[in-house]
Amino acid sequence: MITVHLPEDLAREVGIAPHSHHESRQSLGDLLEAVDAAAPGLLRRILQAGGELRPHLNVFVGERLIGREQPMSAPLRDGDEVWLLRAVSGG
Amino acid sequence: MAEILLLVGTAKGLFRFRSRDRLHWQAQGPDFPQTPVYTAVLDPRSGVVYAGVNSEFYGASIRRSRDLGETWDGGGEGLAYGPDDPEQVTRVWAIAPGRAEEPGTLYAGVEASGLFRSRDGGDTWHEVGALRRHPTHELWGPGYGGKCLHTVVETGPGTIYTACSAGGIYRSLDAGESFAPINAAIEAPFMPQGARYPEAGQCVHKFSVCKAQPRRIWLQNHGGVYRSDDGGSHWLDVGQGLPGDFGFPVLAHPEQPDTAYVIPLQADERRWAEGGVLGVWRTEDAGATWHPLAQGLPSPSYASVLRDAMDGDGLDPIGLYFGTTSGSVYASADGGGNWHEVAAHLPRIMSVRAAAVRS
Repeated sequence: MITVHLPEDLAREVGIAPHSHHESRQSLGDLLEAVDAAAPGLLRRILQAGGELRPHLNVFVGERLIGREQPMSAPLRDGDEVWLLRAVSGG
Repeated sequence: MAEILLLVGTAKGLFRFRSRDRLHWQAQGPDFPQTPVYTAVLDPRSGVVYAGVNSEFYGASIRRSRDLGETWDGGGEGLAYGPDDPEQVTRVWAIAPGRAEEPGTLYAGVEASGLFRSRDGGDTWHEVGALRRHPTHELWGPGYGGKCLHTVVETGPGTIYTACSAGGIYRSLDAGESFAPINAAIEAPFMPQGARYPEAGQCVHKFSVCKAQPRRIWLQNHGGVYRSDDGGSHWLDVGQGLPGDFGFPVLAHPEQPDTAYVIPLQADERRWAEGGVLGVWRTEDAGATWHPLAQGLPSPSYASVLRDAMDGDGLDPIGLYFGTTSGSVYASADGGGNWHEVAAHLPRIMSVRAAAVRS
């Protein structure tokens, strides 16, 4: 089981709970594609057209910050917690 | 009389105002709080409201509301360049319903400058790629607001006008299969002497087409107000009667081809109205003379009015509306003769659109 934590505004947009549990997957990409199937529109809101993470978002697996360029290839293990966080910058 | 819906896009969300007499307004929203909304429009063919929602976090999208803004969907698919494209779609600047004969067709202008079209009411979007493939694309650069395609109008079967800043006006006569720049005789005063009339690279701030006479186009450039009587093939400088020929919005009267409106600002060091006297200037003789319409507007005012922040409602007499960078919305129910404040202290206003609501 893997737990996914989303910003509340994003969760509301795609119609999923901010904190949700999912069947264990091998990679972040596999996981998020499964979440996107249940919550259509999630992936295009967090990834740019080339697959990079959008500039004002970060992804952590546990306490580990995932790189921006190819986030979907990050490996996962059963029991991981995935945090998608938006920047707190802005006026 | 028809109910008027004002859609006010701001740096922090969409604000809506409704009125049955164009004097008393009911505020609704805001929608998409803390999210820039650069444009919103009511499609008169369907009654659907479209909004260009430019989230800094989750990207740009075009949302739809079928109940005048009370609820919104998540937007359609396809509003992106390809994965290997060196440019990204970061903002939606323009949404334009197509012709009445093609009720599912809409156009969208985006940043980085490009044109998208939907044939199914916004479910799916596809780039009209010929525009970015034009050889002059390499001359395009960002204005202060961004490298954006901010204006698109389809005036007839196959005829599409677009403008990007900085880039210029382009026209297609074959439904977007090809485009050509139509910037002849439009001066780029910010360029060196000898290079002030380029084929492309002009900083077009806005153009507006007369609905009743669609070959008449009014243009507010970065320095210069122009008129074309032949669909953009030739332009005439008509800014001499204004206190300054710099400004952002321009609005053609939909039924009176010789009538248009601009809001002159003092360029380039100030970018507020000359002497702080904010006003709409109107011509009724095709640009030969211009006259200020400022009764009821605050003075002094040091606000600016951005390119999409002025509109008319198409009624008779025409109602005029504009919003300022300092967050005020002003309305006139008598063609600009008298103004009143609809709202104040909103976020920076990016766009104002007025539409008569079908009952």
